[in-house]
Amino acid sequence: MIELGKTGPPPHRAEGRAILVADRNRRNLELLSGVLGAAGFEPRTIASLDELDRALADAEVRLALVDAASFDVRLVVQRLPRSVPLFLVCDRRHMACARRTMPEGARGILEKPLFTSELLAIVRSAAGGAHEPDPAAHRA
Amino acid sequence: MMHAHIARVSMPNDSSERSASRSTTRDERMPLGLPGLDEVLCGGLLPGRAYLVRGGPGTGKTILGLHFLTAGTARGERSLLITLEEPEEQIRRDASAVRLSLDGVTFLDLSPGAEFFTRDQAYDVFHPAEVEREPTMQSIVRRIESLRPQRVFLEAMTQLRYLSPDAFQFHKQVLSFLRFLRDEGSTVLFSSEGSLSAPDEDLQFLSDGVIQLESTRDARSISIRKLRGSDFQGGCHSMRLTDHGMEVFPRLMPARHARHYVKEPISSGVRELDALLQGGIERGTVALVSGPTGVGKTTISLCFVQEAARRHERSVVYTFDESTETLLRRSEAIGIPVRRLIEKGMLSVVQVEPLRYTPDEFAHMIRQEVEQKQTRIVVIDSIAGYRLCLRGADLTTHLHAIGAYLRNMGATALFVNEIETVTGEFRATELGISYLADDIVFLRYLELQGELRRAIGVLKKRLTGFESTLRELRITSSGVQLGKPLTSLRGILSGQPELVDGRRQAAPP
Repeated sequence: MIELGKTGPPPHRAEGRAILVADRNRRNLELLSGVLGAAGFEPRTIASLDELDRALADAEVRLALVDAASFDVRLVVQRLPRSVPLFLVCDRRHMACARRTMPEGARGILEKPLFTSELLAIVRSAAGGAHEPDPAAHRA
Repeated sequence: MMHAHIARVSMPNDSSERSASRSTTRDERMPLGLPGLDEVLCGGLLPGRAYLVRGGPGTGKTILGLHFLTAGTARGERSLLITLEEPEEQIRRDASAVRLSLDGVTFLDLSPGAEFFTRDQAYDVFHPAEVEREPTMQSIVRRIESLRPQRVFLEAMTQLRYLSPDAFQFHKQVLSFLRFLRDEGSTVLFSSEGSLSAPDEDLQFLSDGVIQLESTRDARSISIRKLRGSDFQGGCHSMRLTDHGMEVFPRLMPARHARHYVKEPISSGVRELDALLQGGIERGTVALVSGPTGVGKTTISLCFVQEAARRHERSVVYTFDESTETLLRRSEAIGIPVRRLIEKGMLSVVQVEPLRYTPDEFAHMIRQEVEQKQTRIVVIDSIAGYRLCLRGADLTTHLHAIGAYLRNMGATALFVNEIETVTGEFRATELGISYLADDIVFLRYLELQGELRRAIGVLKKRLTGFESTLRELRITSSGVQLGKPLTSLRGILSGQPELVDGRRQAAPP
């Protein structure tokens, strides 16, 4: 079951588990945020390019998931640190377009509809090491 | 945490809902509250099973489900309606329009609210199965566990298909879901549209029974495609959606009906006619009264009706070809007091608009007369009119069923059969139905001395002998009179008789 978390930035700068999620569809943002949050990540959702800089300032983003139909990927890549892997999310209709933008700097394409388990496996692999609940938090 | 789906639950006002006094045991049937359908189902559904009701849009699936639930509440059972499509308010309005009270029915409304559209709740990043299946199923499980309903109507199972990522998952999910409901002691009716674009063969396999609803431009029908663990009446049965809900008219199955009676002759009240028939027509037989237009077929039939009334036996006349008023006036004019018989409750004259009724509905009318009003003589006037009811269906099959039913029930059938040939070569009937009749009484016009006269004879009588000669028939203001046997004439059936010594145009003896 997908549990939905709150969208928008958290009250403090997150370190190490932040995932940037960019999509114009608010409901998609809610759902992705819920899944990633439940898996121990800290989603940073944006619905427009204007929100990107603030999201990057709030957290050390480890991975970006960008809806290819909602954003100009080239502009996102320009502002994103080179070290942050970027995955395009798109449905079958926009696949050809997404493939054309791959050379701009995307690591791969995730085809919608996504399956939770597959998404989390990819995110864990690409974001690296930030998928389990923080042991320090447990100790605390 | 917020669920993707918001369940709206409404409870019946009746606080005694949880303390239903009557519980259904495993070996008794659960009636659907529709006498016709319950008869088709041999008493109702078997408890603790899941049944699919399928049909296209507007065929009556929801109405049937509502009957199922309200029949339960009427018996003090807990009834739950789970709606995945139409909102509760809409269903209540529709129920109210057909005078079905849902006061005792609990609703679990899982239909999409308006906010799905107005607040742009559409999404595409995950499959609906990922987002909505579990909250939906959890809502249902919680409601079932808290209410423990004896009856559940799920409208529509088709929606759950969209919450499964593939056919295998859906199959497994439905199996598991139905198992859960059965384990909770619920009897389930679930609907599906089953269109070409969304086939539902899998649901038919998974269910314990399949009730099929169909609708054409002219008629609606209901049939049982499958019913595990129970007998049922096969074939298509007429169904009507009225402002009182659904009404089902089972196809007439004569073998299912029987009544003990004495096969005695019943008199026509006309001494010479009884002599022609050697005592009359036997009770529990089918008589064909055949002849050309205006020759006196209805009148002869009414003689038996009038005499039955003298014995305090009730009759019914279904008139297809003429209005009740015309029949009354015509009968009064020849001394048959039809109006008085009606007033005394010894006779019903039912004017039938043929295209209004299906054969099943007409058979239902006859059954009500015979079984509820103890009617002993049934006159169908005429077969040609009845044929219009059939709308192309086989006349012999349906007429045979009516005849066989009336025989089994000890009622006497008089089928009035009009033949088109007024004079010329004799034929008992032009419809090929002679074999259906135990008795055939025929009437003919005769041309005698330039005058058109009538003759009556018997062509067939299965149980007794009969007079092999014809008699002249006179219909006067004082009633029906028959002459002596026309023994000195030959060629009567040709319509132009001659004396046995060879002279034509002879006067009757």
